[in-house]
Amino acid sequence: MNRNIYIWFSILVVSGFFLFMTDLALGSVKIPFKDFLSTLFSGDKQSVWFTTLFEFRLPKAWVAAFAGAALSVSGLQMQTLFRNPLAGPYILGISSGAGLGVALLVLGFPALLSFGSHYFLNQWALVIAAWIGSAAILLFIMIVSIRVRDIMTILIFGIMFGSAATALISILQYFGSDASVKAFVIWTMGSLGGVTNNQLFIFIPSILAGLLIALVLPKSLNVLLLGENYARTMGLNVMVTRILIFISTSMLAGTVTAFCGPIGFIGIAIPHIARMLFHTANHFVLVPASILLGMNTMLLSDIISQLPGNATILPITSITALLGIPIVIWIIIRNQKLTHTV
Amino acid sequence: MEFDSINGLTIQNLAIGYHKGSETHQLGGIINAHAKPGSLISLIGPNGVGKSTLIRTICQLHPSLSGQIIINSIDSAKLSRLQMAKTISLVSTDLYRSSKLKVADLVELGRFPHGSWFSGLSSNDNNCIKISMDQVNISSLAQRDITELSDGEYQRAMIARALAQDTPIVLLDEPTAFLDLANKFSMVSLLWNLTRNNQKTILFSTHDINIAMQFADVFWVLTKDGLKAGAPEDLIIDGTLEDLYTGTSVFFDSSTLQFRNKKNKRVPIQVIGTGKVFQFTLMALDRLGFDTDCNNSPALTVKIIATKQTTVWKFAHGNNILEFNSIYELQEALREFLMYS
Repeated sequence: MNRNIYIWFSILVVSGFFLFMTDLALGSVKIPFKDFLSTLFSGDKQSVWFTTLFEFRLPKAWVAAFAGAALSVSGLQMQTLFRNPLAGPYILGISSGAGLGVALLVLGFPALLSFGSHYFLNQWALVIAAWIGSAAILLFIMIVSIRVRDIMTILIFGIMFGSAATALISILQYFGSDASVKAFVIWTMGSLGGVTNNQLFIFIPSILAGLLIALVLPKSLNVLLLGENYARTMGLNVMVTRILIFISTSMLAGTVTAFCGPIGFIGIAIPHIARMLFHTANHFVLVPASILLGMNTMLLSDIISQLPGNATILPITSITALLGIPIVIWIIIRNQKLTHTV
Repeated sequence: MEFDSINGLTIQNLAIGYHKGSETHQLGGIINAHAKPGSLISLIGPNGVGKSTLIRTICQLHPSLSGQIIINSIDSAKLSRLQMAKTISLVSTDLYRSSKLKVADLVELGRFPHGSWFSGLSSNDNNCIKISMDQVNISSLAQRDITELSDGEYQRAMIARALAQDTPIVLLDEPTAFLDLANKFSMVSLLWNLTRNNQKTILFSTHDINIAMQFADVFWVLTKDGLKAGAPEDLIIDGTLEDLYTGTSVFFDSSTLQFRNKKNKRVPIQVIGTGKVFQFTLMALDRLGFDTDCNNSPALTVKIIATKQTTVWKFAHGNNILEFNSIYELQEALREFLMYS
């Protein structure tokens, strides 16, 4: 690793910290800067700002940071595994699976949601439905993966499973009531603010587990750059690596989708930015770089989403798309060979 | 277990092919062969006969239908994944390249089976990487992105990676495909050097028989009936190589010692002359579709009159005599002649 890499890592850590603080400081309610600092660092429960900061903004900032890291790392793993620059965390249909789970709940059993007053159901029903949906898709992929040697066949299966889930969602939407269709559409727009402090205790450990797997895989991911056949002849246990990557991706992308909805583009764009910035294909650099860049970008997206002020918050998926698309286009123009390579 | 290259690679009663549903498709016959350590072996055979499948079967990327592959008297099926990776390395035809991967990092990947699961490089690793790059002459490209390399340079980098893997046996699937003529020669000559200087056993498949013939110790000729091995010259003498092309227009020309394309030669012509210019004139006439081998004085003659300064071709057709100053002029006139006669 050369010096530039350490400089960039330092910059990203510092900017991440400032974006995190900015994200906390901004929001629908204006908190005077002095009060913001004193409440944040004293943790004074008597402060009028305590609830706003610790019950709403802090969990949201944590969710933004961890969701950004999770989506970027799973996107990186998918791009390397499938040797495809357009692969992302959702390429295997994880988001479609989660969407089907949510659609079944919201559109198929709207009666369930009318028990909305029930605390547990209210808080966890959507999350669990989304999780079961993405886990079901992943289970299919795993079963195919054990029987099929060619990774591209698995990719096609993933896309087909995802499309099938989307088709079922359309049927459910067609028969759904106006109110439940709207509820579903709002879920697809994504939201970082829906995660409570209670849920954070599930959200963060799940993502940490996924990141942990990613952090022990760099050497295997490096060998996979040459494709699975070369990796086999160099002694890599391709089957085990594949399954570890799938598990890691479902922990990462599955969890984010379950809690925040399908947030796009971060997972595709960030790994490319990491490669551009660090001029390397080495995953010992790219995995931590994607974590830091993902955190920065997601915090920035969250800050932008609340720029309109007042109580208006723009849908986070629109922000990540509008932020991600120019970056991807810029990268393609700067590096025209991208169409042939990862 | 140590893998000193004592006994080399033995293929015993091997059947290659694939399963399609419940059916089994066997490619060719039963294969028996032996590769001595330190030899350069060229795998020859027509398209679709199973050269790539054989190579993939040897390095266990593809399951065999039956039979054994024995490496240094150990059945390779009994070797662990890592032991295999330390015994056989592969350079395939896969042209896909990841961007932002530097040549040195690519070569470093070859050290994968030698390192522990999550460790950095030892000084021994670094040494091995450096030597591997030196051997294929790409050290000056070490920091280049592999997408910036020419096909020949990339092929060399992939060979350096196989060398860094430090295996007694190296398999290459069509390393000369996609290369220009000079690069084809330098590629095979590089492989030859590796067998001599590093005692590697190298098996490479190729369609460039004329080039392979100038370097390979042994040809493995793969046909529908199985595999026949021997020195290239022996296989020419006993007709094995020519049999490969029965039914096609390719034949072995024993005067030039090359495979050539048969033409339907219709028009007999007599050529009178000596030396290099004579040989090249024969070549040109052969290309145009004339039969220059005939002895029964034909109606057409080309006479080459060479002085110190100039060469003149005289084309005689009945009583007409035409003079030309280059083979091109002769050729264009003869083409016209063929068209109207």
